[in-house]
Amino acid sequence: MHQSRHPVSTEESPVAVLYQRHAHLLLAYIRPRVSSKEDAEDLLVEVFLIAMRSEVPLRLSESEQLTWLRHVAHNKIIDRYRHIGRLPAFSSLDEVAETLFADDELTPESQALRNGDYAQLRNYLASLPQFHQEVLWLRFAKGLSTKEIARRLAKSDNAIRMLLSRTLNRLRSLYELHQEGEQTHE
Amino acid sequence: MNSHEDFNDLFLPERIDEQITYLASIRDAQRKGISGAPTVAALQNIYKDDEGILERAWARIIEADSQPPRETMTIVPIDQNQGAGTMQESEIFAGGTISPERTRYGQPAKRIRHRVWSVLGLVAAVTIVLVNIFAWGSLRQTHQNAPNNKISGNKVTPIPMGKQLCSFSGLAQGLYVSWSAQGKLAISSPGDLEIINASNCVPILTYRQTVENAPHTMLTFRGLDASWSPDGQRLVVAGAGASILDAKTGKVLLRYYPGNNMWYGVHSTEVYTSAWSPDGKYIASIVDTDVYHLHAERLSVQIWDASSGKLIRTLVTGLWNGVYDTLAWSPDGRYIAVGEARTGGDPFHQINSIYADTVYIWKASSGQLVVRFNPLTINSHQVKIDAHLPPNEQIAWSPDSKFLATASQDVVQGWDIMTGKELYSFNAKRTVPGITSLTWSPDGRYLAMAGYLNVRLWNVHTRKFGYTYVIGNNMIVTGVSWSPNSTMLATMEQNVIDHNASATLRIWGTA
Repeated sequence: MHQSRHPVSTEESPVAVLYQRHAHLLLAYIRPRVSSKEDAEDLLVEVFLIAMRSEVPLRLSESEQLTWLRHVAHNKIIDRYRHIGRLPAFSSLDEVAETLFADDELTPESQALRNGDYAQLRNYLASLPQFHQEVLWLRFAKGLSTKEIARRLAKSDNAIRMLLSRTLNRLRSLYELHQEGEQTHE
Repeated sequence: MNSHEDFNDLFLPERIDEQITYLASIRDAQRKGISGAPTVAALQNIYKDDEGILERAWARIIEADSQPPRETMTIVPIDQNQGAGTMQESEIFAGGTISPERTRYGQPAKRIRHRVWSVLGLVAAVTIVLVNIFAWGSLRQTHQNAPNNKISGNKVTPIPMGKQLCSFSGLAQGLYVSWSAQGKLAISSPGDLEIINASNCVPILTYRQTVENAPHTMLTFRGLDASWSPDGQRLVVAGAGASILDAKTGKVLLRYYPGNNMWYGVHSTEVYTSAWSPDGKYIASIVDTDVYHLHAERLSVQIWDASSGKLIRTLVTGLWNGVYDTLAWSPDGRYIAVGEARTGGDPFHQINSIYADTVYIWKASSGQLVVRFNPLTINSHQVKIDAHLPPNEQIAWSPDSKFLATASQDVVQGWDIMTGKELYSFNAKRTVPGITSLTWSPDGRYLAMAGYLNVRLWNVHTRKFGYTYVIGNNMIVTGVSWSPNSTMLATMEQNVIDHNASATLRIWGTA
């Protein structure tokens, strides 16, 4: 089976199509649920390898495919958390030992750093309706204009503009209001 | 400073493209003063980060796919109405679920070596099987005499603390381990369960979850959390529903689904973990009655009849969907305890700012809630709670059912169930960091705690740490189980860096 290295063309294998359609949405689902981007990458690979070797996704509609992929990811996350969950991204015993003797005060900060500053924002993004997520992804990951997004998703330019501006206003109030509130108190 | 109204109308539909382009062009240092710029920058960073992950993951997927398939890739599609009555087990397993070796992703340079090793491995495997068949008869003869006494007989030959009795490295990925009253171990990897003779670590039986033995089930691709019936004759295996297996034949005696929700012809339910009543008649399970319902508070605790598969009662619904929730039936059969941990709170502003752990204890006979408390809020150490850690509440009953030990956020606590008083508590962050398993020895002497660095035995009487088993570099312990006579401990270890390294079961002495 021939496959290109980039999942951009639609003339490819079923798994490439599946990846192109759903990988970013699945990643948005996985990312807030794991502690590092390495974990997220591992899980994404595991889920698509299962998908590749299963006939199930081919018989499902697009939205059902995503639900199925989320179920598989959900199970994989459970396995990881139940047994490996609290393992930090250390590669050797020495690194672990270093942390053990580090100041207790540092732990939450370093944890936050590992999770990235956007944990809250990612959580919110993952909770958005699928269509909203698609629009944001096409705008910010693919750099498309509202016209191009509208064409791609078969909606009017106006509808995309409305949705994008509303979503961004909401995201801004979540992300910036909290910070400004803190500054006002100081 | 902007008024709060501004937050609703900064981004305008008619100028949205230009606004994003402008805000994205603002440099780091100036962003703070310009409304909307931090949000746009955050979104750009998030999606840039994600695109990197997507590219790397795709490269790994096609890399793994370019390796020669080890099993047939053709499967018969699941008949939505009929389940999978006509499918061959091997075909279903090959396509429908995940065999351990197929989850490995080899590096390019390793691929040719892998092929050579595959052939050598096959030859070695056949040789080992033949040798085992010949050796088995004589081994059985031998074990009927001396070594079995170590495990299940009345005579107990103490095995010195820390001394390894045997080990087994047959599973590509090892998750759970459970020791039976009959001297057998159940160990599991995704979709696969292996029963091992505890006296010599020789495999006896393999059970694989297939569409045939778990009909109308979406094969779970998940570690099969198995637990032995008190007499060691049956196993309850959790998955998408629970199965009770005959431990001798591996046949499914009964299947239990925690609810009637179906999705595309399969049950959209999960059983996460189960515990037998000490008389072997009932099973208590933490269940998810609708996996596709995205609400977080959707877990329940159910008691069901182990011989009829009928639901007896639901103890609680609306538990947090924390994957670390634990359940334990008291050894005297009177109580069922559940440990629940949750993170979150306000889904928009305060996410991950809350971490709360709760212990519930019910009377098993009536389902009446006896007590509910939050161990971490009572702990005398005032440990700083880290809301970013995955929710984890481990619980373990003392053998006399009078005490309960809990561990959450590496704070270990002991509770007197009659008085509700905390007996002891200590912070194990430096001694056993990342506790994922807490088990009380059947003789009541030790609490075994496993974290990502070591397994430590804590003497409950002296309240001091005893033996420490240091895990190898890059290894983690995924499961721990005591032998019924408390003289040995089984640990399941897995390499977290090298995906090609197999998991290892070790049995070692604690006398």
